[in-house]
Amino acid sequence: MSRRVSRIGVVQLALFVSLGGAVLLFPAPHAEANDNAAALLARARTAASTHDFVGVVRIRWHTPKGTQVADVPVSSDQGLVEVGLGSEKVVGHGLDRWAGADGAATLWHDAGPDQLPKPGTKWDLSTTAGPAVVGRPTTVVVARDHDGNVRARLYVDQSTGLLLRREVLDRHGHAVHDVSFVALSAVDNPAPGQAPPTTPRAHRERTHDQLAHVPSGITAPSAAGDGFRLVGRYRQGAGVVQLFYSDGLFNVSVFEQRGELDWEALPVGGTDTTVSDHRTLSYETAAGTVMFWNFDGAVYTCISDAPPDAVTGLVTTFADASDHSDAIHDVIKFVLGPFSWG
Amino acid sequence: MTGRPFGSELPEDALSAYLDGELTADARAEVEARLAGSAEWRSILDEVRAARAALRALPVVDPPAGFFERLLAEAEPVDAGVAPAGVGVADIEQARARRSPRRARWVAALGGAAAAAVVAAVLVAPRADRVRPSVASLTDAHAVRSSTGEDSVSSLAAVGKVTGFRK
Amino acid sequence: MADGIPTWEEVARDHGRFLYNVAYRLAGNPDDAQDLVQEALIRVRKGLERYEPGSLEGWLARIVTNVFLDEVRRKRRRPADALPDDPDRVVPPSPAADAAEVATGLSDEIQAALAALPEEFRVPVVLCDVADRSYEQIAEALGVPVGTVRSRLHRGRRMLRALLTEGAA
Repeated sequence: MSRRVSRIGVVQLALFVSLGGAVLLFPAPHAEANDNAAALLARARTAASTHDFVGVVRIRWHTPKGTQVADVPVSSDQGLVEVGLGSEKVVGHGLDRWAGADGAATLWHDAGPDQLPKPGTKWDLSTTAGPAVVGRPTTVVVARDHDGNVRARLYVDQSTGLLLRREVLDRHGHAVHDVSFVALSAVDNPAPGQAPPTTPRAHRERTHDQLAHVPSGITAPSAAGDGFRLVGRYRQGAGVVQLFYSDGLFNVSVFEQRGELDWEALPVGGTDTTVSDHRTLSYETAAGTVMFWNFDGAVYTCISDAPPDAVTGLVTTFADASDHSDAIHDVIKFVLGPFSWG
Repeated sequence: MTGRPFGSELPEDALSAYLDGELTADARAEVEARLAGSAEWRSILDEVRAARAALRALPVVDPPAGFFERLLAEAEPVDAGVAPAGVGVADIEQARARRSPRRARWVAALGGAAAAAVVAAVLVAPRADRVRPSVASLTDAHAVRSSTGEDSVSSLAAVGKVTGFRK
Repeated sequence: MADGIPTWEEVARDHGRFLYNVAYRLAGNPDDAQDLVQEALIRVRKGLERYEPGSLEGWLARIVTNVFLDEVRRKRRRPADALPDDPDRVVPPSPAADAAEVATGLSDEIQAALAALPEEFRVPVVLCDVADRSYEQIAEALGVPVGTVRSRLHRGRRMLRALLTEGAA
């Protein structure tokens, strides 16, 4: 057990329970490796705010032009987690998040998503003793799809339960996304005489953004792709709705708004693919796949660290679900049809 | 390493391929070995890297305002020799017709006044109304919401590193 | 779009900016770039029936390159051809000189150097560093082996660097 139970930790656990999260299990009182993979993952969710540390996380992601790398400093001090530096910094404390330009200018606060699906429903999870990450022994949670292909590996620190590394693999077993600590120190052992951390000052607040229902005109299937369930709906401002999906292991955010996409404003270098007769443009980024598409008068932006094929599967659901009006295309085809250019 | 004598046969243009990620792992290793031992190669690499970076930093150049709108709305009578079968010389509505020997080759993409009007009215929307997703703030929202249902560090780490999308 | 094949209008609207940017970097001036794009879109319209869904930008890059090279070959065949009587067109004595006159910033300098490269080197450089094509795609667009692409690209970049640094103190 961590050397102290912070007040924030208790509040977080209480919220988990009240949201029906009891199934996620209260961590065992003894710091033994727990063979139950789902319990390990659940413990990993809170470990970063219940253990102090300083470290560096390396993100590697695969793009058509090669593997990109970015290093991000991380620290956690009495429940205050800081990720990144300067204007890129994001801070977390309990369910509060500070993110945005000019150094954490916006305070976000939501009650957390609806109950997440059990990862074991879609994924075959198993655990095994893992290699050391930053010199610390790990237990690896291996997630296989129903064809037996390994699609993710999560390396959990045996001592603290911290998630030290998270690998996402494509269908052929190649890593497409990898977030790993490459340096970690001062674990539960902060420097003496350090001032207590303070939360950032926010210029803006995004609270009460959770929606019980989506506005009319927004397509929001409650199940999408392979095993993704809609577990959060948020107002993103200016007519944009965030639909938050989870399959128990991966999350996908689909941002939706009425309008026509300005394809020309998107950077060169995206991968152009057709999904269910609709054009999509996708990019591999540090945050995972970012995909844009546009149909039936709505613009969709999707962000996810799920494997790219899972994201495509989810887009298909949206394509099929919408009340697709082909009137404009029918008119053009009718008008252009008789003229053959040879 | 292969049995080749060090420094022979590896062409200099391997340096460009090296920067573009177009080499196999073996070839990359060879280039790196050559770079370690050759000041000349290091100097050439610097040149090529600089040129490549300068080009990739060039801004996207836009056509004059309204260029594509005019293309879509505009139609010209076709030259007799060029008209495809089936298209008559229709009474085509034009925005600003530009006639020159060069531009006479520009054949109407649409075959009739009705078609041109439909397309112009329905598809040619003012560019200002088009949606430009603000990827930076969407990335924040996704990371924040992910981090409450998942490990916070791996969810939040990427927020500052998603670059390249115009605001 | 239906059947995965975009309509000509969709191509013009969605990829026009990409096409124009590549055309501008190839041709070196706005008028030629506009003509290139217009001609490319004509060929796009004709080619759409045969287009197989895949990399649309790759296909477009190929078309605009072909249009550019056709124009280069046409000019070479008839060097004394009178220019069209078009009041909108500004006729530079040579691309590099004209660009040098108006160069105000670093990107203008780079564009001027690019325009001074022989086409055989400028095309692979633009296709790689502006249109972001792979060597394989460039080879296919130009109908030459990958090794040739690599060699011309490399020489083009070295030449560009030499042009940018010549005369520097």
